Amino acid sequence: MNDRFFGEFLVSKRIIDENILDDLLKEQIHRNKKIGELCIEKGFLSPEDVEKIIQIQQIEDNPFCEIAKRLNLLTQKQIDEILFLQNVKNIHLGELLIEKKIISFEQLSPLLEEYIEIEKKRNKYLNEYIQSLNIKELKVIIDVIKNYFLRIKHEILKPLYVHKKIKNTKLTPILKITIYNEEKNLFHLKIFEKDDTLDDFMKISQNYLSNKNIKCKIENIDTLQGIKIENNIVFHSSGGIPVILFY
Amino acid sequence: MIEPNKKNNNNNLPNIYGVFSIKKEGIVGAGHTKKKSAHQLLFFAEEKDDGSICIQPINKNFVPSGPKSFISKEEFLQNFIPEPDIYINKVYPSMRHLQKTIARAERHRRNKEYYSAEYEFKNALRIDEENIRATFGLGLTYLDRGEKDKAKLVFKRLYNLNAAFEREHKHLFNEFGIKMRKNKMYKEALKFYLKAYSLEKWDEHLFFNIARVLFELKKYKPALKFINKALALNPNFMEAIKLKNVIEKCLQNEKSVARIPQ
Repeated sequence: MNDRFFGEFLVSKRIIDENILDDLLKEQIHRNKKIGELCIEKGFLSPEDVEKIIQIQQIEDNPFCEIAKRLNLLTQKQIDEILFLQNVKNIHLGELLIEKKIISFEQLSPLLEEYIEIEKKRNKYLNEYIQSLNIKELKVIIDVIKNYFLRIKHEILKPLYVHKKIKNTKLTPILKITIYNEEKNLFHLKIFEKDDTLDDFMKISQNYLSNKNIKCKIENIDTLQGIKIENNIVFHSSGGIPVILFY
Repeated sequence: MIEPNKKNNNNNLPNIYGVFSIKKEGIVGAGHTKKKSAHQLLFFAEEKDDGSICIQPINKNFVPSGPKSFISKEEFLQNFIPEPDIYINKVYPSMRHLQKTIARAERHRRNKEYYSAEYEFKNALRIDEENIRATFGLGLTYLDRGEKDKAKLVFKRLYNLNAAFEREHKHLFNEFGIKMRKNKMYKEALKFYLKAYSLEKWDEHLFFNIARVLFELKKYKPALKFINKALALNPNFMEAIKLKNVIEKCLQNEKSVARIPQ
């Protein structure tokens, strides 16, 4: 479950407002420990080791633990322990709401259940869409995409790096999207079909991004060759702005 | 420090039960700053029926946590100092709090309130990150929700904790294994059961469960071997008899398929 998504759900239910959500998410980011910090805390790595791994990460964008294991700095057993502890110790948005006495524990549970039900329905629609070759319900997709944009409103911006898969792919993009701020950005978006409603989507996305100091540039690619859902494929454009291609 | 209703039958002395400390000396610093330093380590100690003392470290949240070890009573009395104040004011309330948190989590899980259960199990694990009951509970909650990735994290954790395979957690161990199988996590379930087997924590139910997973993996010959082991221990084990029949039929089918000319 994504906390940002859940936060937007709470905003839509008027349990919290946008400002409170922003504050809570900032606090969550501040309090939740990164894997490197947990490794230092457990005595598995020195601060110098962590710094070294982060530097390598900035070149190759592989997971922290994968690099640490490759450098023989962490064993698989230690990685398992750290990932488990991170899962246990990281605080969720719901917990923060209770801690701050914004809602009670008794109120949280039905809200979570309601949210999960909505998400299940959404995923069901999405799966139906993915499995079908002739897509008719573009509005469902627009809804999904709209929610993806909601997600990145509060996303921590992470640099993107060259993805190895891009070199081997033969697929043709149906839409190219660039999302960036002053630094770099990350965005997950998977599906598209060229249609009149695309303009609506573009309006929605611009609208959601405009207040967040995040810029979105969308460029249509005329050749539409069906839809295939795969991993997001990411590469650097020649101008240095991260570009995300969706197939 | 003394549990009133627990008496040692042999010499009528009360059992040892509570918080004790031991002083450890070490060297800190180097060169001119090098000096001896003594610090106090806290342990929860409990006398067992055989007279040995089971000791477990007290963690920073004042609950017994981590691996248990056993020492003789003589060694214990020579080295450990009772800490009744710490037990009464810190450890006992923390242990109660932890037990209540786990009980609440388990109640939520029974009521199928899985998100609330996760919340409480995690709270328990933040107090004692090696708590076996809470770790199993969290894993079972993820399996209840069909969240395999998170369940795998817990599985890996439990696999590395030998205490998870102790007799006192047998019912949780069994439930976790069965739930993994039902979530089609066959390889994990098998690995889990085989670790119990390697630690000699076995009975006819463990053999049956191993056979059941091997059957799902279509490994009929080893499945038959383990179901026979289960039946050797308990010839009247009805589920095992039924499973054996099914495995034998599958083996016969395999043979007849193998005989069909390609």
